[in-house]
Amino acid sequence: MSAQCGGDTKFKDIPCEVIVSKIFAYFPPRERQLLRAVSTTWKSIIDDFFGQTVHITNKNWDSMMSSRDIFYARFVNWTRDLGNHIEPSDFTVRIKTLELSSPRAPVHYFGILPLLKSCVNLSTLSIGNVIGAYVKDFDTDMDTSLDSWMATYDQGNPVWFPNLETFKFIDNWAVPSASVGSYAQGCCQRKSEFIAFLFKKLSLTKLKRLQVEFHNSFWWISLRDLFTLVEPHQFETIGQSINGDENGDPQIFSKESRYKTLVQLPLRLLGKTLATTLNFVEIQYHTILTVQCQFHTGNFAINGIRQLSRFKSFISKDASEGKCGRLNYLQAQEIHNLWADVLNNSQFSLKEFDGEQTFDTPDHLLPILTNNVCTLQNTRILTTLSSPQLDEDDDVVADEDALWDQIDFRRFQKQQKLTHLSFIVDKISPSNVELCDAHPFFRHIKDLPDSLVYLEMSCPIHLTIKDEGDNGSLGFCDCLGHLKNLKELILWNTSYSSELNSPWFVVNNSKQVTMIKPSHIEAFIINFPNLVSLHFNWTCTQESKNCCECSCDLCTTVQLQEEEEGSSGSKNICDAVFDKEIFKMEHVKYYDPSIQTQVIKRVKISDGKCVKNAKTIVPTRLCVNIITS
Amino acid sequence: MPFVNLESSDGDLVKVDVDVIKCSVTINALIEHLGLEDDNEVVPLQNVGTETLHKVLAWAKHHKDDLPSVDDDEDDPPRERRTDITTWDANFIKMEQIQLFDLILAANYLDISGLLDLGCKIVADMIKGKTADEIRTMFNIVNDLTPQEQEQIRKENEWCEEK
Repeated sequence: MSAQCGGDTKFKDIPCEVIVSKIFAYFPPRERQLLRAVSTTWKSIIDDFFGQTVHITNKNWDSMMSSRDIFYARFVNWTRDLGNHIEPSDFTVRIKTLELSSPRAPVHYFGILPLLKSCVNLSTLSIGNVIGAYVKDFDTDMDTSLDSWMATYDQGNPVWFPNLETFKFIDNWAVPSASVGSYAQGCCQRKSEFIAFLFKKLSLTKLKRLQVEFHNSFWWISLRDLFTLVEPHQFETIGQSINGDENGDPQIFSKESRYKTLVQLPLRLLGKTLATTLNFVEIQYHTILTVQCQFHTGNFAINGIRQLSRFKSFISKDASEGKCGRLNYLQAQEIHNLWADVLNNSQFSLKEFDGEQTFDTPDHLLPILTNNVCTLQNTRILTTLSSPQLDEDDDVVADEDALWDQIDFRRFQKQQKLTHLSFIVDKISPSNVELCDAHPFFRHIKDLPDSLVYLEMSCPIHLTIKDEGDNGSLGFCDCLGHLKNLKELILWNTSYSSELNSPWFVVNNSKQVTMIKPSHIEAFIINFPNLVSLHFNWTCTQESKNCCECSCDLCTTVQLQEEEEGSSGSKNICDAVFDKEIFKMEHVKYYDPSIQTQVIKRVKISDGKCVKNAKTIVPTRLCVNIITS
Repeated sequence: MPFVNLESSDGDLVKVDVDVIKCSVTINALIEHLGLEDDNEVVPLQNVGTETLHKVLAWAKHHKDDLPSVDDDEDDPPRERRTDITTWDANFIKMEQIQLFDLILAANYLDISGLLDLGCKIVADMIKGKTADEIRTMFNIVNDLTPQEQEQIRKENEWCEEK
């Protein structure tokens, strides 16, 4: 770093910009951007190492054009018409990440194409909410036809983004209620053409990561145009009905056919063309509930097509045949109220969006898991479900309709090669009851395949301890005990009862465990001979904050050592003393996310004794991370 | 060779267990390069003063049994660097700025990534939440930006101020 500071401090003496850049790496982009105002050296280091992050507006566009250091450009609320063509400049060529969000009229789909084309070195492209509600004049200054624009300006090299690796598209455009008729129809047509055009360009890239969100997935689409722009022959299975009538007008396709077509489009196209590069796909479709839509056939309420809001899960057929790692062919399987992500060779995810709908047909989950899990021999399953928000008085955990009871884990049992499973269920109602082994939860987890080496799951109930003094065993272990290969176990609890001080451990005979003692941990982990990492995590709710007289956010006490003199009673988290001979434990780590700089307390075990001093941390969320050697 | 003599830039010799200082890529390379086999051999460290060397060794001794850090998976989405600091490290790093920067320089020279990361984290924490003026004051940095440059930066940074 060049000499620029006086006095006797030595920041100036840090000679290597690499070191300074290490310091700056601890800042998020926004904060780091502000550090550029300190000095020319700081500015140049940040620009050189991280790239200047700029928020481009209509006003500063001209000054930005002269900048040579912009790597990350965000266009927000952009309304400036850049014309039909932009020559690649220092500015556009150097942009690595382009984020284009909510451009407003007169900018429209075709209006941003010249900008996209000029950014020839993009590695990340994010487009969101193109065309808002102010689109009435969107065609006034631009060619009205994408075809004519392409004929003039898109000749030559068809590859726009040779270095593009990540593409994110968010469509959150709701059709204005007043915008019906030919105007809105025109908007939708442009939109479909634009998306199809863009996907065609993407298919020529080496894209690795694709994220698409359709929040309002109903398009006024001319399917004929859509599939003309992409490769029609790729959609032969969709049938002749999508090709329009002889006059070129879109046919009145069945509504279901439209949906099936639309949700398959991105993956069908990209799955074929990006088979050798794509390794992350996440596509989310939101159901339509409130928007009044119009087909060419006329108006009808969205409820009329609600039953058609069936979505597809996409799986790799090749992967199911043992060729994991590529999205060569995508086979759709119908599910309801679920959105499927294929994280090829790394993760398979099912998500349901919160709120709007009830989980009225949870049994749809079963065939999805069952039919896809076979493709996931070396992969991780991540499943996030949300049950409806429940009233406080509801007690569904023990209810026959409890979500857990709807999920038959025996399906997993057949998948003996499954190694990783994450299963998180949110919004489970607090349990005020003791649960016995007969509870569906226990039945289900008993069915988990013993091939699992990683298990992450939410636990909607409290673990039970058979009270046998310090040597008590955990009822929970009886269910998981068959998972002898388990190396990492992560348990989440977001819904413990305010009446219980310990979110995890409850004694069978109704005697509460208010402290987790080493013996409890011992009783737990002794069931898992290969366990390397054990992680308990729970979130304190507002409800529980007021559940006891203590002032800490989380009143649960974890005592990993007999209390020391001077410690503040049972509310402290103390150092751990574990018997090394039993646990072979090296570290116990306390993690408190409520403090900005994490102070992780590592307690080293040496010769069977704790060698570090005690320190009290009162967490709002506590992870007890136990790492065995 | 269980021990090695490290010679600071002040000319002082510090005998240290090789196992302790194995975290230093530089010293390991010097030992190998110089072909040291005897406990009495000296490894010269021209860029590290005695006081700083003792600090480095204290850190190395405490962390000698640490597991090697696991690098982030390249396929993982980019994220900010972790800011975990152990209590011991937090206490260890409490020192004057001049010592802190000496320690960072030494960690860099000796190629001890854990200690370098720790020093950088602490400096980052010192900077966080402060305005440019406050940072300049703290580190005695002269504002060498021209008014035009400052205005340009202000415009470029406007979006950062948005809520």
